[in-house]
Amino acid sequence: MMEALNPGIVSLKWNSDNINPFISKAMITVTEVDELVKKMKENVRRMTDTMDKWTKPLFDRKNKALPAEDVENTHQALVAPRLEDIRNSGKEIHRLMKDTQDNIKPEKKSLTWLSYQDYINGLIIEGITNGIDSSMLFLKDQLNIQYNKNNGLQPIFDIKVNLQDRKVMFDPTIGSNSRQNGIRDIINKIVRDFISLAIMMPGRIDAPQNPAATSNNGDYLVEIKD
Amino acid sequence: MNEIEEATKAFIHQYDDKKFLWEETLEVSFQEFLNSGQSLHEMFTKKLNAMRTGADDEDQKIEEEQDSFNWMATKILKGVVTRYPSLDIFDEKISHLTSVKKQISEMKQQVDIGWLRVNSVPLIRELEKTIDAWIVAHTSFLLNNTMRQITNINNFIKEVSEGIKVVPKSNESEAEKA
Repeated sequence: MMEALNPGIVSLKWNSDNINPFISKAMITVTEVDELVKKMKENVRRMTDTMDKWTKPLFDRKNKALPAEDVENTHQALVAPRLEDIRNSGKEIHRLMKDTQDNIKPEKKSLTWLSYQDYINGLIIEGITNGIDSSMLFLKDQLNIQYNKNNGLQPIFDIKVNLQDRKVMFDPTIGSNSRQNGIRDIINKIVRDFISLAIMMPGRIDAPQNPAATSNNGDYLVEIKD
Repeated sequence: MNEIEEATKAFIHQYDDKKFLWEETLEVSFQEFLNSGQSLHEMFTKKLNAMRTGADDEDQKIEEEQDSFNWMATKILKGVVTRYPSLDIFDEKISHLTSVKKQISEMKQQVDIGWLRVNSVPLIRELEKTIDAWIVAHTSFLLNNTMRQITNINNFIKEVSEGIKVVPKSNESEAEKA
């Protein structure tokens, strides 16, 4: 585009003889670039819109207390299709990125294209972080005694207290236990599901160009941890 | 999680005044309770010793009393537990256990601790079963031990009644023989 516009900047004046062909040619070039930029912006907008949906918490609280096992099963029933959706939207982000690449046909090792990829990677990392953060904050509120009290919420877990081995014990236990069915165990599993959002993306967006990057799932997990 | 763990620990502590029900064994605890009393032999001997004046004839009487008690004990206290606390202490213990039973029956069956709903019914049922066993152990001991004594006394009376009907041959006088 700079090449096409250069005569207008350097030598041509409005009353120059060959101004009209220049304007026509420049208009075609600028329109093409405008279309490309619009396309890129539209693709980025669609990516961010997709990632905005990841901020919907990956934990759903029922308005009645359930046995611990039911809470876990209900969560699994909710989270599995949600994570599959996220995996599919990750594929869609890759598709949009490829669409941008196909349209602008960049020099893949050029600094400009690598910078653009870096920018998209930043958006993806931010999207994943926001998604995890949103679920974690939601869960944090659900597990806050005062929050429950202030909002008049029904408890999440319905547990029993009984005599076991000459001790008053909760069933299941509040902490972790060897059977991995304690309340803490279940909460830990839910948190792991939140974090697994980071491995739903089918590889980094810059995988083929970045020698340090691989195209395996979970490539973003390292950066999320950082 | 730490917040709820602390809250649940505090919830468990509310049962501390009843922890004897699961920390102690009924048989061991009841035996210790019985052993805290004085035996009938000790009480009788103590009473006789208090009567001693040092006079030979008095001491002789006391020795006879002791022998008489020992002989009677072999008859009346056969199979009877002779060491146990006084009835007042039994009454106090049974009253305490009954009040614990009442407290257990008044426990809330369901308590919400923040985001946990605690169903206490299994614990309450277990405690009710245990406290009933403790109360029965104390009351049935008194009943059974007393019944045993009464049976022994009846047998003794019967034995004596039968015994006095037979006049010893060596003591029969000429008049009696006639």
